[in-house]
Amino acid sequence: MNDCILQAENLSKHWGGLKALNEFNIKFHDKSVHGIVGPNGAGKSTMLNILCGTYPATKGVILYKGENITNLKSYQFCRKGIGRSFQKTNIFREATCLENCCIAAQQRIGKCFNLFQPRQADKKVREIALDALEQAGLSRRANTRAGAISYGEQRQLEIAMVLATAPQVLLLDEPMAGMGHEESQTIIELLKKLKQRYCIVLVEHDMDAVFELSDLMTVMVDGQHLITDVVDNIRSNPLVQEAYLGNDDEVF
Amino acid sequence: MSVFSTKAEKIFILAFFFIALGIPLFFNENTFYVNKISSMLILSIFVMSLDYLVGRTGLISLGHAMFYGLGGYLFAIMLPEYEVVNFWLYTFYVMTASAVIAFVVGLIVLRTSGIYMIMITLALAQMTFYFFADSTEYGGLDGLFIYLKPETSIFGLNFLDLDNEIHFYYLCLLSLFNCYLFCKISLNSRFGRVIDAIKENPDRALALGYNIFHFRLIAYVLSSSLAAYAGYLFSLQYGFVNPTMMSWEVSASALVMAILGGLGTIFGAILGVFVYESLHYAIEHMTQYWMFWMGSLIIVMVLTLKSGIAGLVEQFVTGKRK
Repeated sequence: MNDCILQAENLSKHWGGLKALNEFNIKFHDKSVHGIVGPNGAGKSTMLNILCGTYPATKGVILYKGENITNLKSYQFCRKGIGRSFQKTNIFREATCLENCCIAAQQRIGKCFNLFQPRQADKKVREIALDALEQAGLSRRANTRAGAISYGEQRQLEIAMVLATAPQVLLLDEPMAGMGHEESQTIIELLKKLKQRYCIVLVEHDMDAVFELSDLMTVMVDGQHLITDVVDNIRSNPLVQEAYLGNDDEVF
Repeated sequence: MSVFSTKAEKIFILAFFFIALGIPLFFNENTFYVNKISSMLILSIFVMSLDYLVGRTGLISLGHAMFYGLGGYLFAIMLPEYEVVNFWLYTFYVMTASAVIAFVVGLIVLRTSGIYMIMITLALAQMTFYFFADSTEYGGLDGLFIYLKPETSIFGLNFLDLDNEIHFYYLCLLSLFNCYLFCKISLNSRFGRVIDAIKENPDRALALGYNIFHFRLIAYVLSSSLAAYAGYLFSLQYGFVNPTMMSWEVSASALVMAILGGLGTIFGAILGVFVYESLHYAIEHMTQYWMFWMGSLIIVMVLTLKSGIAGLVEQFVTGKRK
């Protein structure tokens, strides 16, 4: 297995009396997809939001390449190289797709407080943005307004924007949510390509997709870590079947 | 890359400044109208600075007149009695001082957003209003007088005489033009890209690694300094400052003008001011109940023109209806 790049130790998140995440330990490895599944309310999104700094953890430590980043501000997580996509499409709808990625790329190039240099002038920002669009398979939409492209493409754009920030870890919160079968296939192909280069943490309800993509999988139940293993072992694990897969009431 | 965002804007700006340059020629005998238009130009700078904040940065302030008033007061307070000072030097002093104040105020008000920001900016502006209204040192409700207008020599050259209404008019016009250019250039810059992003989707901008507080703070300081400059010009035009300059009515009517002109368009601020002030002037002369008619008219205009008068100009130029 590759090196561990992101790690959480005893991570807890309490909302009042509710323990959304309880003493959670997990390790993510470079150049692989780590799928996270669990029934609704298992704390998957909460964990993702803590890992990218949106929520502060109640307890516990986040280590990124051995460095403690638990107390960083949320915007600093992105600068470190932890990029995230959102469960609910979260893009700049009024701007073009290219501009969306330019906004993401400019953060990395810097000089964001330059009041006089026209925003189009920097070739490097544009290159990075175009490259990100290319990787996400959206080049032909570069000059279309982001609000005008299809829902599936918006999900792709969401990933393209994260790529433009030059991340090392991609935290993807249900990238296939609300998608049709064909659109999901596009994203699956995309993620297969991306996992050659990035550490991907994938929270997803689409079981076929997760099983197809993941190298390692973690099953969560009620904010607790149930099991982490390779995909085949997960499928046959009786604990998992009982807690999750075998549960007929659950609607995915 | 052109400064103008749309064709309508280009046509309007060119036409406006072309006509404005010639205005004093028509009213050579009657300086009343030149003075009136000068004051509208000054107001345009103020409303434009508010549009920068509200329309482009997405921060709604109901206390922007505080900086308008402070611009005048800072000048009047710093001004030594019985001495002619340099206009450019004091422009620098006034804007720097107001930028420092805006920085401190920004640190406080930008912790809030939306309705809370409206309340806190209003509260701070009212505090400043009563501070000056009750202070004996700064003249209370009567305010302060500026007896000697500054001279405007730069490197020994002196083109403008501020006591001359026509000269002052051109100074205001030049200021408005520079203000417009500054707004457009800075909003088209790399900084402007982030400002646009933060306005549209602050959460996403944050997730992309931008410290949105810093960007908002800078926009707030820039906008407030421009407002202070407008207040400084106001004090030069009338030769006095008083607390009414920073009353909440001034902030509110500026907000109405910005919305009327078309929020976020920058050039709409000029349209908003000229339409509002012309209507005000015209209706005031027709009936003593002008406020009623004015108010009704503004309600109708805001309801029918979704993107303000700027949007109307846009439609007119492109010949399309949305």
